[in-house]
Amino acid sequence: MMPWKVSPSPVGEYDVPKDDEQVTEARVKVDGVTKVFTSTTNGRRVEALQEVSLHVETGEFVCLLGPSGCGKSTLLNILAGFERPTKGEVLVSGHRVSGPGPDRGYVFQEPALFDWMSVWGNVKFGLVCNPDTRKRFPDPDKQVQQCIELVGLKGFEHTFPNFLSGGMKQRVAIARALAPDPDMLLMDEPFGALDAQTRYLMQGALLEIWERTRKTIVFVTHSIEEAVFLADRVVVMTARPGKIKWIDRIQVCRPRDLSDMSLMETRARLFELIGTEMKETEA
Amino acid sequence: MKQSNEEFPSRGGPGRWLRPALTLVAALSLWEIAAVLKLAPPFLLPTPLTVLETWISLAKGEAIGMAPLLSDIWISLQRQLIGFGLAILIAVPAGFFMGAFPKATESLLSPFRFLYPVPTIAWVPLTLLWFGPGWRSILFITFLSAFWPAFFNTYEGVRNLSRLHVRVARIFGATPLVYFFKVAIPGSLPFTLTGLRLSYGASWRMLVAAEILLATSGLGYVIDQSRSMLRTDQVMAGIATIGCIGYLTERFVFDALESVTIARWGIRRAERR
Repeated sequence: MMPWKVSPSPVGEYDVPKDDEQVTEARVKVDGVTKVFTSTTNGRRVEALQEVSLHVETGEFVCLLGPSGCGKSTLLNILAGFERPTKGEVLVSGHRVSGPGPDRGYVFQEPALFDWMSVWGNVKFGLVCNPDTRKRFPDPDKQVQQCIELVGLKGFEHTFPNFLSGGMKQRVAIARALAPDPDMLLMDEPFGALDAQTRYLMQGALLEIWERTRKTIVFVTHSIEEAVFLADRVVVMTARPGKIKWIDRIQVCRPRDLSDMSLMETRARLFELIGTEMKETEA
Repeated sequence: MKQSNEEFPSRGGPGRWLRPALTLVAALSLWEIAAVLKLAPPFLLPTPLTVLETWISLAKGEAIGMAPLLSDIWISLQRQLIGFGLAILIAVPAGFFMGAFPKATESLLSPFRFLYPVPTIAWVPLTLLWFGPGWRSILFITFLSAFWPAFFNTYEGVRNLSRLHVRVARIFGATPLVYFFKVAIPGSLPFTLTGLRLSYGASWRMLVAAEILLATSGLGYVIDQSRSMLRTDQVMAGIATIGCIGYLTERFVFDALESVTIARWGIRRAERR
């Protein structure tokens, strides 16, 4: 008998589309992606990702979870187009990813804001960067205002980033990523540098934004609590070479209470999985 | 909206000018005491008041054998502005370009690294051979001394641009022009401004040295001419003028430039070289 309500699925089950409909539904298709880095100093080859396949549905919130160095950030960078896979391919909205683009908003661990632009200027940046987006947003100011209100920064439009707190800076970064109306958001431990209190608030804020925009989100974290609190699906990755070890679908309604029995069980299970993974790396 | 931050305390209140003023009064008093006690012969150590009187007569053009001070100030300022101006017109774009393409311009950087530590004063004999005494030599020396800080700081500023900002620009598909004007230039501005400040100071100091050695006008000439007439009071008045002009420029040109840019953005200025 399984002690938990949500039955975990073995690796791969989600990766095989059950019917054609699901194929068209998938926002992100990662197929057999392998990434090998070759060191420039000694020529040693390091396999960061090995045969990773994953589908993410439109509007889904997926967390990539794993010990540090497991290649979860590499996978995110491949999705963003910063890195090219050595083998395999990545499709986003049906198009093969060949480089970064405004259809995939990205939020870094550091806010990476432009210190010399006000909140307004930062959010507007992505809308006035090139002729295409300028054509797409003939009235950028309206879009900027909406995004700033969405992340709850109304009244701070003309403040410069260095006068904002860490959480507020990260809100600006989210608004900036959302401004060109991307198909999805890629988030690389966006709350990793925040204190526990702010982090908790930001998780709530992100869920609210997600519920209002229904953007597909791929969120990298090494915090089990964070993954369990946020995600529709938690994807656990193994230590180098990074492979998908486990996928957990969490069906508990939001807002979630982490002391909920089934979530406690999920947490315990994920904790054990990651624990074994870390022991293996140390050995 | 009024912004405040503990890291950037407001510099208002009477303390802003009172403390420096008190320090100045204390220093002048010590000087006065030393002069009154005749620790040195009066013709070598005049009192502050004598220096002030001398300064006024210099300014009025009443001093024997001296042109009105204002004309020398004007001549020095012109030389400084032309030399410094030309230097930054070349050094800042050059630093920017070489910082943006470090691999391609590596071969250019090593001669720069070699020339940079040569004190500009060491160029004076060569300058004399090339251009003879006069404005061309002075301009060359001022130019040279202003070039290096502006160049190296701009170079470092561009090298220090955030890699994350490059990624942000790539995500949004920013055109090179947008990246250049909206990210690279303002992003390296703290360094560039520090470079300009240092270049200004360096060229002002070197200008005075060049005027002592190569000129028959300007503030450097004033103090050297006064020295040859054993007029210590005039030398001191000249030094005070040189100091005041340097201070006022720092205070009203560079501080003002910073207060409308990096200080407003809450960035501290880069402390380099």
